[in-house]
Amino acid sequence: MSDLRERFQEVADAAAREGRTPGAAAAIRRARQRQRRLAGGVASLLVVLVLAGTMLVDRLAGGVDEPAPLPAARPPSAQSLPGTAVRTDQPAAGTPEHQLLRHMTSALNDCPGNGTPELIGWVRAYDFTLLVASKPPQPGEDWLCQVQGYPDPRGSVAVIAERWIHDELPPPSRKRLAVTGSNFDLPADRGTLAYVQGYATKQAARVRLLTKDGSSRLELGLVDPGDRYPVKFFVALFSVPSSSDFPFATVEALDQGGRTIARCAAGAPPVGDCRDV
Amino acid sequence: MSSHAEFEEFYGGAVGRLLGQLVLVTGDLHEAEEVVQEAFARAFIHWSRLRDYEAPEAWVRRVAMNLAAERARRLRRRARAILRAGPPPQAPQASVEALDLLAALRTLPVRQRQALVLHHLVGMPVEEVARTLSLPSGTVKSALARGRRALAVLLDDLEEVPGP
Repeated sequence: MSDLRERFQEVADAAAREGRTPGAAAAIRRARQRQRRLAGGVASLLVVLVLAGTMLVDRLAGGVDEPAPLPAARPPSAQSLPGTAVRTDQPAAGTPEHQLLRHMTSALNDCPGNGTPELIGWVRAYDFTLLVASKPPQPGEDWLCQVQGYPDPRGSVAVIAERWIHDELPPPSRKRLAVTGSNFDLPADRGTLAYVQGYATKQAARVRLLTKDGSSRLELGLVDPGDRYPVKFFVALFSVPSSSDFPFATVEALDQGGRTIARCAAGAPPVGDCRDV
Repeated sequence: MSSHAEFEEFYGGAVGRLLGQLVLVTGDLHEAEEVVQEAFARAFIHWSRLRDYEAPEAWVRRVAMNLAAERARRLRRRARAILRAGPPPQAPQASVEALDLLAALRTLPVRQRQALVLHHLVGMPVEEVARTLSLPSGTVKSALARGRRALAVLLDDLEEVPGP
């Protein structure tokens, strides 16, 4: 890394050459617009604050962010959905997925713990691929590091890590059931592409995702990566009617006999972060 | 020289440098242009005071760094924005190695990117980086170490990720 400065300088020089900042006159115009907004903005600021307060109360009371309905054609079973077939084989060398694993490995290396990052599984549907990687907790580590990643169909890559990993905060204790998900705003069938991903206790045989009224559901099988992990994982891609938010209100982990052994309530969309209740 | 002319001269002399620094922090040329332009607009508002500063560029850099961090935090808070699948980030026309570097930087937390750029590109000592980012020196040292380690993995000796 001794040439880090030179490498930085090369990128910086290229940006300085090609950057199209609109000039000092535009900065001055922007400054004057800002000054005008500040001068006239006191009344509107009050309105915005009131509205924000109302929305916060509604949000806390669960009065807004109604989950979007699932597609009219309810999925009869997980197996019939292309985005629920989880593969656990390594993506071929040289593919975008294989390259993406590098970035996911790096993100996991930033997560506390001494385990070695591993691919857990990946799903592909609607010309989109989502990977899940984790590292096995070592003795004394009561948390779980996991990240999702995808090669963007339009050329970039993204690694999604929970905020505590990204911000280097103390890790939260591992849950019996944890789910996250959102909407990618990409076309899928006649709707848009959404995902869920999470983990459940080893006793779980599958997970069930319910909308707020409980009428629509998606059931997913679990990937068991072996004894090195105290949990099983799940991941799915699916289509929702529009660019709505995370469509599920409740997620349940079910045992082999179909009994609910853990349940979590999704937080406010669009994050859809779901923790034990 | 009029205040306007002074500002224009200052802008012309500093904008390229700051753009180069911020593209490494934001990972995207358009994003860097936006935060640099906004920082200069704010500088103009305070120009009557800033013009007497020994290094007004440092003030603009600090504002631009804060804006870049705010935008990164906002993106994290809104998952849809994090997950947005918009057009790929705009990168400057540089070598393949430089583009790899930019892609690798984009995977680091914004705090690490800021620390790396200020220390390794701008040439600030750790204490000055800490003052600029309003962070303790120890946090900056940690961010630099983590950032360098992550870049080393991504750019040089990366290990395969074995399957389960």
